[in-house]
Amino acid sequence: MTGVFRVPTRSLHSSTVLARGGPLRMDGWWVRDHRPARLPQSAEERKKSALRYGLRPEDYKTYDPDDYKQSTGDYPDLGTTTFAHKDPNEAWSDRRFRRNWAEPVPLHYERYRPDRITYTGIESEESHDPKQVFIGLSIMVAIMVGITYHFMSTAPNKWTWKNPMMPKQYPYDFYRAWPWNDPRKFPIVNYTFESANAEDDHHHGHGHH
Amino acid sequence: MGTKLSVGLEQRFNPDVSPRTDRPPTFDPLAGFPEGRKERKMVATWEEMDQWNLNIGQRDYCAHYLIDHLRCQKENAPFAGYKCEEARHHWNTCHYEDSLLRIKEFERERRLLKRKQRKEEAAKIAATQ
Repeated sequence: MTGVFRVPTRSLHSSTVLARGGPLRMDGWWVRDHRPARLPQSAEERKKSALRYGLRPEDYKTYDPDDYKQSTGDYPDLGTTTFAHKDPNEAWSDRRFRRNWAEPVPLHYERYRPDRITYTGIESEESHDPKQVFIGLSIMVAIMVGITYHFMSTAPNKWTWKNPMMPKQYPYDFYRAWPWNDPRKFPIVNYTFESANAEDDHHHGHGHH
Repeated sequence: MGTKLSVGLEQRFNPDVSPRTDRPPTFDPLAGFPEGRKERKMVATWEEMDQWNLNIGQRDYCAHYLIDHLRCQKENAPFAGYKCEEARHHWNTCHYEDSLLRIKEFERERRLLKRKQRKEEAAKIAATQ
């Protein structure tokens, strides 16, 4: 949420920033180690910077220093070349990212990576092919029906998880009395694991009956 | 850990010694107890359970604790959650001990099934000799 508000807040102050010569010329805007290099002034410096970024001097172009959102000192403006722009059949050094060794990296390179879903919006149509959707759903529903059938079946020896526990004991046979008979007519004798002549169980001590 | 799985696997691959948990134990409950076993005592009376409107599932050996708990809840109506902590604890403990008993019954049934299988095998071997 803070990020939503930060940009317009900065925009409000852009006139102040520009009046003082832009962020590159303003003290305290950048952390010292992150501060971009000074823009090349002379032709000699332009040539030096171009070589530094692997470009011919005539291709070398910097961002507008007053564009404080993009200006990155002497880093070159390489334009926008997306992954989709690049020829898949070329012998790239890195075929996955379609990059050559030491190829200059555009400033917004991360926005146009190969894992981006679509560049044109046309590819997304392919996933809505009704036939494909039907096949996918059929497989999913078949698997779910199979799982449900297995776990709903009452077959005693089927494989499932199971607790090592006998059914709960009741003093009356409610099943036998159901529906209209009186369960008191069908008492069940259940046993604890204590011997018959042992003293009273301490567990049953906290009742007050 | 893994008990549920191992019990299920035994049921699947060795059903002869795996107790059926949809029915009470199949062996004589007094077999192997020379001094006999103490009977479980039902404390709550039928009239009492009718009075407190207990359903069939609640008419178990812990019903008297449940009735205590309901009575306490009625007496301490808006603060029952705090005041009836003890009564609730007794009822829960009773059910916990009831589960322990059921687990013991399962293990007894399982061991007796294994014993039965061993005896049958021994008898088979003795018959061939």
